[in-house]
Amino acid sequence: MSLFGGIHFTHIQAFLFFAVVISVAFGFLGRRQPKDRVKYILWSLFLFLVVGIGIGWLMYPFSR
Amino acid sequence: MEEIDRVNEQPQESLPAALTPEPVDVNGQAPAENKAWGVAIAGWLLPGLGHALQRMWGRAVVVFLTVGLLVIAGALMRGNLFTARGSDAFDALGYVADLGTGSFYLLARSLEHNGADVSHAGGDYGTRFLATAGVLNLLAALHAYEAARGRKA
Repeated sequence: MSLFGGIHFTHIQAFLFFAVVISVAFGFLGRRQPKDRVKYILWSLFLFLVVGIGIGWLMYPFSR
Repeated sequence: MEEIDRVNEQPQESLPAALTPEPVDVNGQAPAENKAWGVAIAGWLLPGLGHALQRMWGRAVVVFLTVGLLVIAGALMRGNLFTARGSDAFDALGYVADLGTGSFYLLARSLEHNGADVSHAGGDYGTRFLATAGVLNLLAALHAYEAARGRKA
């Protein structure tokens, strides 16, 4: 992975990167207290992963 | 009628806060409203600045870093950075989303010296990252605007 020559993420890396970054942003914007933020970030990340992987499996039968 | 007169004679301090008129400047706008617009525009131009101006340091740093990371990753993945010369409505929408990153739009342009390449999945993801960064920054600017107006944020 050369940074300024461009970066290459696999599908799962791009998915995890997106989920983590957006969850952190939502947690800080949506909640005020540190404990609430951590809970919100973890819950949001969990939902991203479950929904993303779930949709992936739902599409699996139609992939071939 | 007497009852109405009695209500009108009540001093303003006894009215609920929601009914007391805000102080108005010469342009007919409340100063807090002008400040809120300034904060929102600052937050759009430089991600996180809207919160930093209100001393919300944690939110300011997180908005700056998350929008910045998405823009850098999107540009280095050679995502499509839309311009004003789009040919259809989707290009125009993409341009609006990308412009949401404010000054980071210029950063993305400077990083993408080889141009976009959406012929592979990475470039396509990069396009989404850039658009998401813009929309996220607009959301943060709206949040800063609401906070400056005194709404619970």
